[in-house]
Amino acid sequence: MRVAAVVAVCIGCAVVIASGVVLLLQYENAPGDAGDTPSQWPRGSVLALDATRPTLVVCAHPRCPCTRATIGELERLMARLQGKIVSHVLFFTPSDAPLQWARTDLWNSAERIPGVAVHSDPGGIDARKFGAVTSGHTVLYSRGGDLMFHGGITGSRGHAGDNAGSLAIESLLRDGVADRTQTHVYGCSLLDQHLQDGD
Amino acid sequence: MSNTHTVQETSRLSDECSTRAEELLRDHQQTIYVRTDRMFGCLMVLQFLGGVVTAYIVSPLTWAGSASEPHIHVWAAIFLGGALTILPLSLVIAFPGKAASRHVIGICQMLMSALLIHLSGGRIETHFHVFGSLAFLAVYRDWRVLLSATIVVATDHVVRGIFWPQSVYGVLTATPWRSLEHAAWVIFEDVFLIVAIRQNVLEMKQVALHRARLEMTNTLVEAKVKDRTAELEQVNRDLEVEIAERHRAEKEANSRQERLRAIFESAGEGIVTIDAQGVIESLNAAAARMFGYREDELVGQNVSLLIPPPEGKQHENYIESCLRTDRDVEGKRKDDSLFPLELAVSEVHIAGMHLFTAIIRDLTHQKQLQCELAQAQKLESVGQLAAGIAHEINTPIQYVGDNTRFLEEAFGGLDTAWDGFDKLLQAAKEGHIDQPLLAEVEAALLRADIEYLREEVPLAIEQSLSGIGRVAKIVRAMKEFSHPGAEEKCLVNLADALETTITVARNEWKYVAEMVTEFDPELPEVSCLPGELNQVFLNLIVNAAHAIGDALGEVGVEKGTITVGTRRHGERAEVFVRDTGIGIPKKIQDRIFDPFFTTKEVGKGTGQGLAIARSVVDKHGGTIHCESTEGQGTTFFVRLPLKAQENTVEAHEYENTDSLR
Repeated sequence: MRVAAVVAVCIGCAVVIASGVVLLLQYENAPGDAGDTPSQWPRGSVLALDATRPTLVVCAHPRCPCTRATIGELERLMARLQGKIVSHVLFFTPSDAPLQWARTDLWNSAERIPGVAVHSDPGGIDARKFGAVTSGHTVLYSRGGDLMFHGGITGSRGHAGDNAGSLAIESLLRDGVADRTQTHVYGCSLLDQHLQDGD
Repeated sequence: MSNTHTVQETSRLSDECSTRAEELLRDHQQTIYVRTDRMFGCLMVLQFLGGVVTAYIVSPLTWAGSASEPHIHVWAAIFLGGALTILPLSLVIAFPGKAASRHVIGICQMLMSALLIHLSGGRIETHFHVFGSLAFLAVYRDWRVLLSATIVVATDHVVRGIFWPQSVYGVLTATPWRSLEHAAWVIFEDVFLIVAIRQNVLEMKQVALHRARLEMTNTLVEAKVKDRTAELEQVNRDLEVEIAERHRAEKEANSRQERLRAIFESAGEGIVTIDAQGVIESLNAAAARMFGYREDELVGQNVSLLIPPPEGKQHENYIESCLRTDRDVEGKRKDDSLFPLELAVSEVHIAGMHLFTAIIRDLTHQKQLQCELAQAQKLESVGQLAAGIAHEINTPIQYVGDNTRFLEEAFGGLDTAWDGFDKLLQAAKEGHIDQPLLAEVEAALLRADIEYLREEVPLAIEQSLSGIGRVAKIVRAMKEFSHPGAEEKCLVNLADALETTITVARNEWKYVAEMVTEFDPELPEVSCLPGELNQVFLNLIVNAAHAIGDALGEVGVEKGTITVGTRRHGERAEVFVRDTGIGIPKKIQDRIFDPFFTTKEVGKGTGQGLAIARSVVDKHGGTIHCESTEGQGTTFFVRLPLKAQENTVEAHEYENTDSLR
């Protein structure tokens, strides 16, 4: 009887484990909405395009756990590029929320990265100008305002490490070409539910 | 044979030791498995909680703009982590120590590592959890568990390396060498851990072997201890029994000692213990009272204080002599007065000490009684002799009386004749004697029968004087026999004393026996108390007469013979009284000197005669014994020292009787 109960428990647990692993892997590898990124630097953005170096903009949700990997990758990317680009991080802030809402550890982490300017983006207005609807959406524009890259700089949801986005950006800045200029974005949505439904 | 047995025994013990070592190793491993299972059970729970907390901290919510909902990592931490915890935990609870349990634990631990890595956002630092887990799994000291865990890790890396290399390697594309490198690091650790496990297991085997040997040694020691304990318990029980017995014996000894002490203290006779030097060790109240001292005054004193010289100055020889028999000696009281005592000394050896115990009886009263008894016996003898003596006196008194009356009558006839002669004398003076006067005188002479009187009166007077002499002799004999007032010893001619006694007792023997005397004229006088010694002789002669009388009564023949004589016997004077009576049966010869022992009919004897005779002879330092043959007669011998040895006590020499009768 006891053996049967234990076997039943084991089978149940095995099923839960197998299912959980599958679901987790699916979730981890399920990209967010890629959005519609403009090919030219959007007009009316609160950010200014740098005329001397390419400009990198990361649109992030300050409370998205997955974006912590994006900030980490940004930090490594900035370290490797050594001032070759100008970086901005736009942290989504609900329009009715105080500015402190966005002052999270992600904000602080981004703020500590040399060469990165951190900005609050109330209501995600500016992010939407860059076509970003998923936290971690990164865009790279040339000095002339041409879109060079857009997508995520993590390989999966919340997973730090080598990824196609970072490799593409580095390749573009180093060689001018890259095997891809767009990657999947893994992160929380920057849009409220009603805006998503409206889309 | 013994060596073969020893080799076999050694081989058997070695096999048992190896078997036991294997058991111990298995037990130890099982203990480790169970303990490690429990540790991992706890670790799983902690990891589960840590995973939930990590998920809650790192990725509590997933956002959509300003809206949020719990992050899938939280649910993964709860459910997936829960499943990874419950599965091994249930096995730990249900099957602790089982191989399947620890393999499942190893697999789940690796999966838990993957989950935690995932929950931490793939932090490279979290990958150390894998290596930590492998090290922790090594605690099982079972390399197979490491293999299971390593397979899980390798599978995870291979599968994900193939399908999602970026999730495991952080790169978009990974060569098989990358998987091999990762696996190599894990295997690298596994090698270290397996070597350590192998070394540890070897040490465990050694420990188990040592422990088995120790157990075997302990078993042997315990067996010996058990045997020894059993022996000790038995000894203890024996000791308890012995102690109880000793307590009982001690109690009994104390009780007996108290009783003996009470008897010692309450004894009517004096008891004195002295050491070999004559120092008084102890004495009882009777002894102290007897000598007029307190007990503490005498303890430690020399016994010579109580025994006057010469005995007191020669106590060692004296004690030695006293050991042989009881002695009558004189004791000295505190007020220096002397008193007779009977001394019985026994020798004891107590705890290496040589002691003498003297039983002392105050004979003062006994001596008085003896004197009174002797006097009474003498009076008895006198009483018994009185009739005979009266008879002896009566005969001469009768014929003295007859002769006196004859002389009275003769004197009456002579008185008439004397008147005639007076008248005849007056007539002659006047010168006219006439015939009638002459005829009257002649007639008076005829009447007086002068011729007869001239013949008979001298005879009558001579016979009367003889009779008076006879009476005087008897009276003198009586006087000499009794010797009133003769309390001091004096020199006595034994023949005279015996003659006197024979005379006094004449009426006792003359009807049954002829008396024959055989006195040694050369025998010196003897220092003695004649009155008491005469009593002895009288008793012996009367007994001889009675014995002959009994013989005559049976046989009815002519008189017997009593022979009384004296002679020298060495340094002693011997008196013997021999009769031809019935003799003394051999079986009672030892008892004839006992007080109140008699074979005579009631009223004829008191049983005191020979007892007093012996007492008197003892007092004189002499001996008395008899030789008797039943039906032929008895001879009593009294031997008295020829040299006066006042106050000299010698051993009573009791010669007797086996050769007699």
